Amino acid sequence: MKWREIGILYRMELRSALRERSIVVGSILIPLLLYPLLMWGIMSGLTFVMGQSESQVSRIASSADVESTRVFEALESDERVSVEILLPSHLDIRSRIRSGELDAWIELMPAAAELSPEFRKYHVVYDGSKDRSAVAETRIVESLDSLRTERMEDEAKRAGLGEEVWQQYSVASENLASSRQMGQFIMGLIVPMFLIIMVSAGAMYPAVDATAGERERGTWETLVSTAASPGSIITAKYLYVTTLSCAAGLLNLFAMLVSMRAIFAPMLASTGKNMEFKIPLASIPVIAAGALLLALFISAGMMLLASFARTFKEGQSMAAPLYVVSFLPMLFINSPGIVLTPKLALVPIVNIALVFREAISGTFQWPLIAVAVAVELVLVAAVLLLAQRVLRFEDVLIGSYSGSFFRFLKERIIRRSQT
Amino acid sequence: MSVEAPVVARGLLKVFHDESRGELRAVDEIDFECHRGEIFGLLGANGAGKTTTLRLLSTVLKPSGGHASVMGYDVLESSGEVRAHLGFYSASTALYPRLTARETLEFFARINGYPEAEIENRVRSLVDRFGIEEFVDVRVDKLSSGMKQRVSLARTVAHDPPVLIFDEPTVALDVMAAIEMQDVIREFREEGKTILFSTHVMSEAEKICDRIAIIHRGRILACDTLNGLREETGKHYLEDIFLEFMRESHD
Amino acid sequence: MTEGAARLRWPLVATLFRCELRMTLRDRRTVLLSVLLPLLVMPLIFFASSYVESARAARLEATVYRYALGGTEEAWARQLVKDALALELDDAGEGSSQSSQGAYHFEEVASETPRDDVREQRIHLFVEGLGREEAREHGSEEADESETDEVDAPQVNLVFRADRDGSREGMRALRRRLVALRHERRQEMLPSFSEEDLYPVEAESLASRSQESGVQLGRFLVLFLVMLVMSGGSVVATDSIAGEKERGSLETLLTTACTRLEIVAAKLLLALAFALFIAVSQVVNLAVYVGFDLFDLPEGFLGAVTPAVALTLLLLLVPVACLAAGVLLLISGRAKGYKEAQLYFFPAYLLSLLPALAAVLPSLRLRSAIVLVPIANVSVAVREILAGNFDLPMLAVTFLVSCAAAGLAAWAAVKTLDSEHLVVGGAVQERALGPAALFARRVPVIYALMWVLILIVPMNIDALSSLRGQVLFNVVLVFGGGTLLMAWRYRLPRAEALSLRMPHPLAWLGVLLGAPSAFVLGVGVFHLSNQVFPAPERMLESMSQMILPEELPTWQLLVFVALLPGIFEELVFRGALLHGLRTRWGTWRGILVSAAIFGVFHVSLFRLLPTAYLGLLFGAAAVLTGSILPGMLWHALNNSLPILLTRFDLMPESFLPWHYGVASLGLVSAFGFFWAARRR
Repeated sequence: MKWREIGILYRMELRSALRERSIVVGSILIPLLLYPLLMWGIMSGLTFVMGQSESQVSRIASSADVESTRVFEALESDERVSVEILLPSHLDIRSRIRSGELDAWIELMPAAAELSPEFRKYHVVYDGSKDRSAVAETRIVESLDSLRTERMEDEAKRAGLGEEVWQQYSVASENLASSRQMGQFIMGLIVPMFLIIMVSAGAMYPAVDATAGERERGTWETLVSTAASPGSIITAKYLYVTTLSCAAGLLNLFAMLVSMRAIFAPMLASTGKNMEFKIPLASIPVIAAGALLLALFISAGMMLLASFARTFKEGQSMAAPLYVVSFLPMLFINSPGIVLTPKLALVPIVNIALVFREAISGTFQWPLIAVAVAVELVLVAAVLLLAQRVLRFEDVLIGSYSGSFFRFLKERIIRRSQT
Repeated sequence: MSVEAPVVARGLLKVFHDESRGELRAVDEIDFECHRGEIFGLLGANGAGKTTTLRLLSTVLKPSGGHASVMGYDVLESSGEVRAHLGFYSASTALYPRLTARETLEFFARINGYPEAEIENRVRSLVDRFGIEEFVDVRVDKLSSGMKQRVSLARTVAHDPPVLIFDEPTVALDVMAAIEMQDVIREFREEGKTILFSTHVMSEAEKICDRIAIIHRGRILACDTLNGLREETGKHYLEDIFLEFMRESHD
Repeated sequence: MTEGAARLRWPLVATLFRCELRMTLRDRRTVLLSVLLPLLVMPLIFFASSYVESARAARLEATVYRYALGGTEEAWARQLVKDALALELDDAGEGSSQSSQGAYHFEEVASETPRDDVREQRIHLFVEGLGREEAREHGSEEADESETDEVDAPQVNLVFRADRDGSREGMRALRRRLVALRHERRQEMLPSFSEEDLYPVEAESLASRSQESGVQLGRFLVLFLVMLVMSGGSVVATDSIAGEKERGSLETLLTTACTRLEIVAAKLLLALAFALFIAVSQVVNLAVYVGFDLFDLPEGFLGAVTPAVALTLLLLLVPVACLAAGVLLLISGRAKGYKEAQLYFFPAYLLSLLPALAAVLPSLRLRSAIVLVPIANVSVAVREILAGNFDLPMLAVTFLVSCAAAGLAAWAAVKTLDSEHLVVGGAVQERALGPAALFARRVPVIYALMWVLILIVPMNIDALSSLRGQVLFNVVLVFGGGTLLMAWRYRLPRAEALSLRMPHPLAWLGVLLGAPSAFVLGVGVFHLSNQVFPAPERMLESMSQMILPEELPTWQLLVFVALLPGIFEELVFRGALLHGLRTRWGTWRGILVSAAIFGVFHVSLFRLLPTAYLGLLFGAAAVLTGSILPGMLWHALNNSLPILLTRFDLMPESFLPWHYGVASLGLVSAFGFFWAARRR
């Protein structure tokens, strides 16, 4: 290994990448602008819905015989509800509810008219396919519920049971998790997934561009014809792809956290739920190291796949499966309550995701983290070993081999090991 | 209409607008006409306006002023007819990599409005003529560059157009391929086609062009047969003639 | 464009289409990637989500919930918990496995420091028995929702951690049991009087079961369609213009007899065919999985899809698919090459998903302004159709708007082939642009960055989160510093670009007349805006506390809310921004766009329209008088008025119609003065 040579090549790659518009826009500008924009959009949508449902009064009509009951009284005292009395000409009311002019209709069932209204059955008509109407129905049911509780209390009083006897006890709950821990909990569900997707997406463009793209532009041969050894060239490229991929992941993470803190936290606070989106300082090196490991693996894999392509586009479709593979395992652990166990520490990618999740909430199971790191390192080593074997073939190195990675595996590596 | 030459340009003008440099007159009111059965050469350095002129004739670009017509059809008013009557070949007009040679020829004959019933015969004769029999059902992306060139030439004349435009056709070719190209172009002339040919290679223009227009900064400095140009300048080699005109224009 | 008027020659389009289709299908890797991969991934996602759910349920059921008892009434609490756990109840709900009947296992453990143990996750719960006195002191923090009045009673306090799944679920189960126990015991106290007999209710929904489930699916149908069409069609569309441009085969095509319209038509058909094929294959794929009972459709859903419904859905969804395909082609046509097209794709993808989400918003009806918004209208219409609600005139409008939008996108894509520098390549080089032109070009990005800065930075730095901090950072540093930086970097002339010059004296008169009038009308605009974007009460309160905090002295409020914004916001919006926009878009569009951007910079949805309205007035004044100085005074006066009126309790509850009338007259005459003072 000639480190000086690699250094020169690495700096050259990085410099030309930072001058390329699509890399700068794609991996710096877009995350910085997109996260605030998206979160702002979501927040505006949510507040819009909140405002809309708050300002929405349920328009309920009732039959005349309901008017004298406590139900009518309860509905009328609810400021989210407006009640009017209508004659029960059925068809008209139903079509008005169907068309959305009216939200619900309440009447007393004709049967058992001799009972007092509290024992008579109430009939509520609404339209379950309309949000507003469904809300009206819920509000009616809620006020009937509280009427029932009140009525039971009255009855208890009449039976001579004291308030305290009737109440027996109250049930309270007390959350010991701080607003910071709650924030960490939410972040633990979202952040690892995003981080892995972003590291993977961040590796895609440079990995394909540094292999298939070079070949397409014809600069590959220029490079190979220089005095630098192929090993140095490829090492430099690998380091460069890893750098960009890792940087993309961390930059996205940063943009996301900062946006969450600025946009979601104040909104949650204004609705009475306090959450702080802060990650413990100690977790930053762990997350960075995890992102680096992932980037090392994904970059190697993508470069290996894409190096068999002759054009950028071809390279993309060759590397894309790895992108999908890298975030599929995440779907299976996207649930609260899954923690890093010795078994899960052996599953690549998932183990890193769980290390992220626990680091965010300040939990560090060092032995398991070590296992996870070891597993990832073995994986990276395996890919690099494979790459080394592939590059021993000259036609691959100079780009005259035409065929995909899998065809190559079948033709050269597997057959050889059989003989 | 029959009296008019197949290709006519009158005061043809093309101005590009640039937000800082202002107007750039890429083609500056040029006049020329090409006759049936001749090879008309446009000779000029890179950026002289050759490609822009040819693109104007092929209606890929629209003129900012002046007129041009191909087979009597105006490039602005009946651009579709213009394109139906010409074949355009340049180093940048690529083929579809995933079609076979036969499909390519069929496609271009059809899309240019060649009578449907005769397409099969036409393709067969093209295949014979350009010697692409062996690889006619191979996808273009699997062909060598020489094979691609032949398919590309056949593609250009797939619909048997009366006017052919070659925009620096030899620019990326090796000697043998360039000579083959020149031969084919000369054959086309024998068939009575009108040919516009642009190049910056003097010897090539010398060799195959019947008339040569020297173009510089969007203007035609001279337009005559090689002998006519020789007489006008008193120089023998086209290279010297070219330099002479350049010098004059700068004075 | 003379060709555009020519009609499409369908045989030619068909030839083109067949050729393109053949080539696309031959690109096996692309086909695999964009058809097969989603086919595999989609069910995997469904499977994963149901797996995750059942795995969680199983985990919660298998957990032994360890709780400690304590508090002054420990013995009482122990008995209560024991009784509650003895109730036959299903804790796991629907996810329970049959063997255990869904009851969770609880186990009492001894603990010296129960709260710390909960905190450190050594135990799941701490059950604290509190006597009357303590309960009163402790209050009913996060008490059960049915506890409405504060009755003197002992309390069971369940101490847990909401950020731990086990702890939270255990607490929920135990609380449910304790409430049920109390209910049961109350019933025992009144054996003759059953709660079940009270106020019985029978609810009848007019919507059928299938319509109700149809609505749930309808909320996401258009979203899925747009996602599938955009992601499925993207590879084909990107390749078909940008890719061809790069490979040079586009130029070959342009020299053939077919017109640009025909070329785009064929490519649109191709992208559409591909996208629709993917959409259909996904539906079939889903149907297969449903057929094998791997997962369930909402109950009775198929009943909602009558032929009429299916036809209407198809009529509405096809234009949406066309629109999406058109947008893809437009992106592809605008880009210089394959990579650049891909770069534009992702933001465009996300932006087109936003309107598709319209149906998710509850109570948004088609009979509203939404009918004019492409994609969003179909999104809402589909939900209404599946609910069995056919609003024919509105559906017709929806259809027409969608078709028009799709046509517009396709037309714009045709125009990109006309655009010459894309064919010729690189005729416009950014580096060669002069500073003024460069500035006009970069204005959008610069302001986007400033927007992000003011949105993100103050809330992330505690020292800046107060009103003063925000004003100092946003207004002085970002706006003021930003203007200076732009003026320096792009060499903006002070008088022309920033309009920093003395206006005609009459302009000042206009401001004095305009400020109070515009303020009164502004209140009206706010009420109007509140009809469109109703603001939640609590949010309004916290907003007014944020803008006009009561603890600041009046003079400070005037400085921070009126004076500084008056100066710097005018500099940055009516100075630099308006100048930059005018150079490229023309005066009137410049004023409108700058007003909209001014509105967006006020971040909150509820302030968008009122501030955009002010931006419009200030912008018009700046253009007329040729100076931003009147605007500065106006802005400052406008912001001072509410401060002074509130501080001296003069703020009227509401304005009467004649107030608005007088104010309108005042505003008109103010602009009369500006007109008289205009810069010729």
